[in-house]
Amino acid sequence: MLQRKPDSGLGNIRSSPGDPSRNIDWILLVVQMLLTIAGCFVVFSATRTEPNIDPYTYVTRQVIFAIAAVVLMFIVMSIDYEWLKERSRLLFTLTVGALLALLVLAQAGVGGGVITDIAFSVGPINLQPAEFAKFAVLLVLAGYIADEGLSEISYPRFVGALMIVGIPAVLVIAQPDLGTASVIISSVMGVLLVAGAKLRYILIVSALSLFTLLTALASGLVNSYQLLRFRVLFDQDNPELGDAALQVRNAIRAVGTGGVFGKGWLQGDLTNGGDIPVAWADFPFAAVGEQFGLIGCGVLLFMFAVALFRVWRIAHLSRDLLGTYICAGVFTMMLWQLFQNVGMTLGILPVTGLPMPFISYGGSGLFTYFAMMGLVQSVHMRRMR
Amino acid sequence: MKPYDERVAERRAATETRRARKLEARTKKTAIKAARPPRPPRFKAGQPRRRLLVSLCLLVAVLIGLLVRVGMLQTTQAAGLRSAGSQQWTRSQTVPAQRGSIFDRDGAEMAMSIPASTVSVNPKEVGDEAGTAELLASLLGLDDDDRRSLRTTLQDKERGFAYVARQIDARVALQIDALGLRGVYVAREDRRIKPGGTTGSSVIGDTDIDGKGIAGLEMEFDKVLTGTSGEITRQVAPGGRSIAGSETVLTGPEPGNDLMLSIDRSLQFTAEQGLLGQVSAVKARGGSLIVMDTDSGEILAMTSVKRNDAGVYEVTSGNFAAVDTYEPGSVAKAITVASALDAGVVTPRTSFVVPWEKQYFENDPLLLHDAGYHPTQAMTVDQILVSSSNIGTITVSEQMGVEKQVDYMRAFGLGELSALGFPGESAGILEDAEDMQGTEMKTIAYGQGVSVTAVQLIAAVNTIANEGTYVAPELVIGTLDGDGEFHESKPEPSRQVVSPTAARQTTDMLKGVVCRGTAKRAQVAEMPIAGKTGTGLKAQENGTYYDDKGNKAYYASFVGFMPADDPQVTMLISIDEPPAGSGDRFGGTAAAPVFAQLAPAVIQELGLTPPPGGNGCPQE
Repeated sequence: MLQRKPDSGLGNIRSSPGDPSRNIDWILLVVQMLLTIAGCFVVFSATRTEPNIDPYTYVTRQVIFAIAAVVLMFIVMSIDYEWLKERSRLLFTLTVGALLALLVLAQAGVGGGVITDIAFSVGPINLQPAEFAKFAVLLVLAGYIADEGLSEISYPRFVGALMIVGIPAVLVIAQPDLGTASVIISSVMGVLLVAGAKLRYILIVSALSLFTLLTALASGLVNSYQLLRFRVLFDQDNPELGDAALQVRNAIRAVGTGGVFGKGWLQGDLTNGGDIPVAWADFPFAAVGEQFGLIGCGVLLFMFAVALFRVWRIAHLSRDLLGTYICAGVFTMMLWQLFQNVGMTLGILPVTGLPMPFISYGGSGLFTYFAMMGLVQSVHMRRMR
Repeated sequence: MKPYDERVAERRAATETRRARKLEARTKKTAIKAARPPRPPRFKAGQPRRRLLVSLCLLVAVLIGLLVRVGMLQTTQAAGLRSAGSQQWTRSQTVPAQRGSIFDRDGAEMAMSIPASTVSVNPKEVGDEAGTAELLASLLGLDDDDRRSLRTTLQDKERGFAYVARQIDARVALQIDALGLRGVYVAREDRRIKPGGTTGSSVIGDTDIDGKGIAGLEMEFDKVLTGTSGEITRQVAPGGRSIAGSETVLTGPEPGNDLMLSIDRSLQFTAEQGLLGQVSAVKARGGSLIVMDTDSGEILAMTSVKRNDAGVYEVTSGNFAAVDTYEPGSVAKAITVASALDAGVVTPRTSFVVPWEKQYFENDPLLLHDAGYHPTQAMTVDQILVSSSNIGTITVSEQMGVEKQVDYMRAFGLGELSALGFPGESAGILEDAEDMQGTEMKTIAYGQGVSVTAVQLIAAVNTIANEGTYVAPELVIGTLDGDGEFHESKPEPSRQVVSPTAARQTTDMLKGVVCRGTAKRAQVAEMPIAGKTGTGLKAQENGTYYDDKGNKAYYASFVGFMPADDPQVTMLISIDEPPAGSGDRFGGTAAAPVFAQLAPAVIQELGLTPPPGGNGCPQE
């Protein structure tokens, strides 16, 4: 199972067995599509009763986003990741520049509606440099470490890797967007882990992340709302915490009252009634849990497990270390984001507003993950060469 | 055949060849194998593979952990999630209990709560102000002004609550609810109605729009009627919106108890109409009327009417028969005479020389006098009462002294709150003898210098009718609890005030008052009646009986009972300020006819059998 035999080529006269287009990981693709479609249903169920809008507003947009994301994915798939890696430094520089520009401009207050804290918005398009950063950092880091080609990372490489990750991560934290920063760091952790970093390197990265986080908290860079969300985690029943805790409580209640079989499609009073603020982006798992119960949650998590396993398998099959590292980064990033999102729904982790991959409403989340999947498929497609 | 050796050699050679072939094949195979390109190692570095396995374990652990947590939430902790720990997010809300009804003595409703609905809005939640206002206005039938103000209310985003319409028809409310307008709420709120219109409103009183008693029995028995409100909690989402399905009933509302009154609704109605008719006919300021069961003190009808600012006479929602005090005037003479008879200082035949006017104090030039001139003459006690002589009554009172006079009056229930306990009820004024000044000590004998409520007065006269036993007036005969069980009111203690003989003798004299005296107009054919009129002077604001223009104001009353020889029912009629200049200003002319007018209805309602011998008055 782990080592799929290459196509023999017998009877196939159209192309050679090693042709990338003949080596798409269909299971991954299908599972990913199923998750995205399920996401559209979840978004519909959670936004249907929002006031003063057409019930189909959100889901229509989500479908359009998904279609655009598929196109993006096929573009990324069709490009050799090696080729991308060679240009990743440019992408990285552009991304850091954009992050820096956004930070400076937002601080200077040159908003004008075009620049918000986290995005350049031009008309309907919302460009979030932090999303590009996820992609760029992974690619650059994987390439940087793969270039060494050793089974263990040398100290100089490790320091260099820290610089590559540190700069965009700090810029993203400064936005302040702790969630996205944690996603970037999680992918880095995955790459370092698989690349054979010494245990103390991993510890150093962890310590640095923690230090950055504490600095951000202490310096007041993190706004009070995010602080509140941390407090909610440990002090859920405190009435002072108000709506922040309410969101979590209702999410937990939504999942908890779903029972084994759930209340049924559109029958969940909490999520379908709009009682969990922004459930369609932050708490889709609550919507699934309330409407489809333990069974629904199990099926959803199973689909994620399959998708993650396929990514893991591609990491195994990769023809080179670069591919393995890319897949490892995507794997941990996705696993972390899933864990973080479900964890906050279940009251295990603080609410960070990290969307659930494929399921949550939002264009940038879909684009990022479809692009990542494109990279992974690209690794799979070119493993035979 | 070939020789043996040859055959052996052949065989050996064949074996050799086979072996060689095998060897050759084996070598060939090896060569082929050796010629194949070596399989590429799966990984270029040894480490990643192990590390990847670690990450796979991580994946499995995380997913299983999440699933376990979900499973726990949905199975073992599910029940707890629905109830426990949710207090912080709940707002409790009281559910008003259904207010008890007020029934008359036969169980006819006099006041009851009917289901209705109240529509309110939360302007913060309303999205489309103009549309919402338009819809609500058209469904509720609001006029343009109300429509505009409703829209202004909806646009006021500072407010979280505003009433749109209260206690409207439940069907209209249901339509509004069905529209599901955002920010519009429909809640049940009962409406208090009096099925009998104004009938009994003086006694029943009123509730405010929140269903709280603010007057009359509604106020006095508010606690009994209100019951215990229940409590529900509901989960609240940001912005104060309640979360559907999160309501938890903590305590269910306990409906209030019903009151059962001694009032007879139809008699009450008749009495009100009769009093209204008389008061408007004589153009008085107002009036009161009480019908009381002689034996039990139960009040069968009790009403007050007044002329409102527009000059229209109407039944008041205030019970002035228990609240307003006035100087009873001559009605009190019956009390004085009964007391003197009981004290044994006079008999009905005792005779006194009575002038028509008299100066009682040397330093006070004021002459007290009777209502009309008569020569100084000998009068029996009976004659004194029948002709309502003031001087004569003073003489009778003087036989026992003013201290006794006051003691008897107190025993008759004057100067102290009655057992009704009506909200705002007055105790009247009856000073102690040593505090009295000047002529008060004398005039108190004929009911000036003492102020009483109509309730006190009828209870006092009723004592005479009831063979000298005072029974406390009673309005509420019991309550009905939620299970429909009747709980009788605790009876107030009765007391013997005067001897039955004294009472009977007084009654005989009071019969004379109706037959021959001032209350002839109270006579009813076939039914002997005893009673006493009174034409009290009202004390003015300046403390005298004359207002600043020198005019006097009267309080004309009549208290009577029937059948005179075996009294079953006592009735008081008082007319407040009949026009001073008219002949209708007297108790005998303003009040007594109402008795005669209502008597047939009372007789019929109570099923009284007139004794043989007609009304007992000698035919003139």
